[in-house]
Amino acid sequence: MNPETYSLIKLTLGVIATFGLYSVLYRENKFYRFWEHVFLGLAGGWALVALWKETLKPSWYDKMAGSIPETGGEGTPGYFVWAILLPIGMMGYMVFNKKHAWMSRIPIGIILGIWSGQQLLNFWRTYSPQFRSSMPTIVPTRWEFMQPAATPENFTDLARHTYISEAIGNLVAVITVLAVLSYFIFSIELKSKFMQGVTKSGRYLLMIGFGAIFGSTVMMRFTLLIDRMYFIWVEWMSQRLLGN
Amino acid sequence: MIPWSFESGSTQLKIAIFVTLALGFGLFFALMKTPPRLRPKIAATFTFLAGLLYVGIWLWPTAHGREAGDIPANFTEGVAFWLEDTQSQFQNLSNILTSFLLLMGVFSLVRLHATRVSKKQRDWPFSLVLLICVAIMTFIGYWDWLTVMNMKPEELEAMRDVTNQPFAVWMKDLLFDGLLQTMEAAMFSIIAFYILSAAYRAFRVRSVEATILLASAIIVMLGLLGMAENYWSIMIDNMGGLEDPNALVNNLRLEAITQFIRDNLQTPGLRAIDFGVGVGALAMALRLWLSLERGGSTS
Amino acid sequence: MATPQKVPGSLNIPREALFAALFVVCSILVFVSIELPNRVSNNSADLYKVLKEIDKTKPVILQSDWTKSTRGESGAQFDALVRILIRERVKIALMSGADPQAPEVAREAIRRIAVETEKVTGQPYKQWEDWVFIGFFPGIEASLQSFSSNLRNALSANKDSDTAGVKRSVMESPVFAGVNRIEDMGAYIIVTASKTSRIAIERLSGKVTMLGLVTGVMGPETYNYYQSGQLSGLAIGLKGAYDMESMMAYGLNTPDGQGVIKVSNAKVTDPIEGYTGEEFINLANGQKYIVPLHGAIILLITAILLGNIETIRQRRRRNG
Repeated sequence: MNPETYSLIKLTLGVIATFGLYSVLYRENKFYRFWEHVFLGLAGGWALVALWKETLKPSWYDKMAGSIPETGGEGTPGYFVWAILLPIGMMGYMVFNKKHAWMSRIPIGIILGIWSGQQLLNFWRTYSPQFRSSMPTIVPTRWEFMQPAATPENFTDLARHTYISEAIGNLVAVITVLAVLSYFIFSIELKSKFMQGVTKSGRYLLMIGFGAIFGSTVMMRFTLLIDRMYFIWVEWMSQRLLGN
Repeated sequence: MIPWSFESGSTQLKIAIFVTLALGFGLFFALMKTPPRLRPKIAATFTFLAGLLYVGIWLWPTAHGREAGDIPANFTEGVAFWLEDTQSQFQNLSNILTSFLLLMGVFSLVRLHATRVSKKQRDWPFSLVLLICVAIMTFIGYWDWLTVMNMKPEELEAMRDVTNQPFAVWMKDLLFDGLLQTMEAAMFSIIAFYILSAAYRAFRVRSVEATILLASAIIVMLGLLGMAENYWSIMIDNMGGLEDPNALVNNLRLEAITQFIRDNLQTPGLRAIDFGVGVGALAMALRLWLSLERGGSTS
Repeated sequence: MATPQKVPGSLNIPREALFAALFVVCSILVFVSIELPNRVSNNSADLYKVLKEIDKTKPVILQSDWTKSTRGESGAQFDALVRILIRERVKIALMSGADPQAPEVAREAIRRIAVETEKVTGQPYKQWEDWVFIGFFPGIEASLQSFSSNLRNALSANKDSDTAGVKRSVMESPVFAGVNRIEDMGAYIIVTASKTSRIAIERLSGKVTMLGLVTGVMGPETYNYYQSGQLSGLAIGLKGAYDMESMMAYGLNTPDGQGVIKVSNAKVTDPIEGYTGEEFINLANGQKYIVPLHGAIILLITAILLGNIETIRQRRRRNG
């Protein structure tokens, strides 16, 4: 097939599918439901292909069956013990059988056991730098209010010292960590007015963080829409259909 | 001693795989007959053994500076080597079992929609469309994979010119890139419309919390706009920020404000939540590993 | 969903009108291709600095966990990242760990950028010799734990096709020459639209230089790890992609022919060169999408303000 024609067919199908899915914005309709089911079907089919060719074939089947030498390549023997994973994997499917559903806990338990063991192993590696970073210096080492603008010459010196404005910023960060922690830890009724104030300020400080998260989320969601608009109007209509 | 491997394609290997499968399915059927009181213990044993390796790695001394082909100097080092080597087997084990469990998702989808079609339930034609799409994608996906896998290097090189691509490759590209990927992108992008509508209706100054949330969101969003940052900066420059780079007014630049919010308010706040999540995950990990967590539909 | 009751005299914009406004704004602005001013974030500047100063003799692991569902952000970031790595002739070990669709998308992108770069430099960037696909790992937790412990053991059984089309262990590829452990890698770079960056940091931080390129949604929580030093550089969302493209086009703190520094950063103060003077593609989707993003965000802020004006009016009306 002519690549130009193929590209036009491919993009046109993609645009029709996109409008089909967007039609739900008006209301739920049959055109949307059709494309929704096409999407789910293709995703399911691709999962069947990808899980075999990307994982099960190289990590399981090839290890179990080994490989016969090809030209220039070395063969490997087959480790038959890997075959045991087929019945263990099949136990997961017993979740659909009411009587023997408990068997599905065996493969899931193995995965969870592996995850749990790793949590113990990794806790300190994950959180130790976080704890350290939560305790920045709050005492200035230079008694000038503002940190001078950074240049390649003074960069090392600036990094070594804490200026008053920086120390104030660090103090705000420490207070934020403590206030938010207390908001979550002391989710009981508090008698102390001070602690009530701390947990309340924790809630307010958390709102600043959530506001920032909203801003960042908006960026992502809008970008995804812009990408689709670019696909429809520039890639399909302008470049392919009108040949610009 | 039992040999753990045989030459690929040999009769011994085929017999060994058959025997292993027979033993495995024997275990499968034996477990089906297990008395109910033993079931939790069996599941707990598998979970405990799976996690034990990593607890062993955590507690046992690590062999530092190990080179390929090194022989352990003593028992302690031997165990450390074994623990290190066994991890790659556990890596495989985890990938394989996760794949089987992910395939269960597809199985469940197909089972559900096949039932709808066979019983002619409401909207069954859509279920039929789904089943047809699963079948087509699977067929084309494997056809493409086998076609490309069996190609000679010169044929692969020739494929750089798209006109030389075989039909299976065209079709896979059409279904995967042209439809599946495009539709996934469209699905994810729909949320943008609802965010706008929800923000208009719900983002109102109704309480102190809502006001703080709104102010923070607007400052961060403005900070994402280079134009806004630029005009704001010109304003600060005109207020004396340009003449003296160390002037106090430079702290009011939009990027300085957003950086302050991010470094001293947003990140510490999220980090405090993360500490809670981390401790909770650790406690949950212990409960799962030791099977102290009860309940669920399969218990 | 219940539609709010229309109060007489109130401004109650129907949601269909909001949908239409967003659709129209984004549709029109995708045709506006202008370069908007940009101030590079500290985290993006650090990312660029690390990428440019990376030890070229060491390969990097590139974990790609995005599909075209997040093409707008992750795609733009991935393209910018791979362009830098290929132009710097850094060898890539590609892998995925979240979505079965991710490997295909990443391989296609690397092949496309390799061809694009070859047209300018004349140097091919070949699979097996310069980059290798090391696998899709659905059990990513255990896989990365194994990488952390002994990379050679973890990967020796994984195969990719060599230049003659023969399947061989990826550790035999020239990409992994001299590599035994994760510490021998130049960097571990993760482009993700999900939480897999956290899984990687939990297992590998402190052992190898780690860099992250994440979507806007994942940005705030991943920023924690940048601030704590567990990530040496970080690009967040479309802004991160545009930051990278700007630094590639004009360099960082680098004066142009007229002595004007177009892209600067207050934290990273060294001059770092871009890819100027050659026919490289630097400004791409990051730049194309930033104009519509301006329009969409201004629309959102306007909608929020209109909503609040309405609330204040209603409150006044209630209070007489």
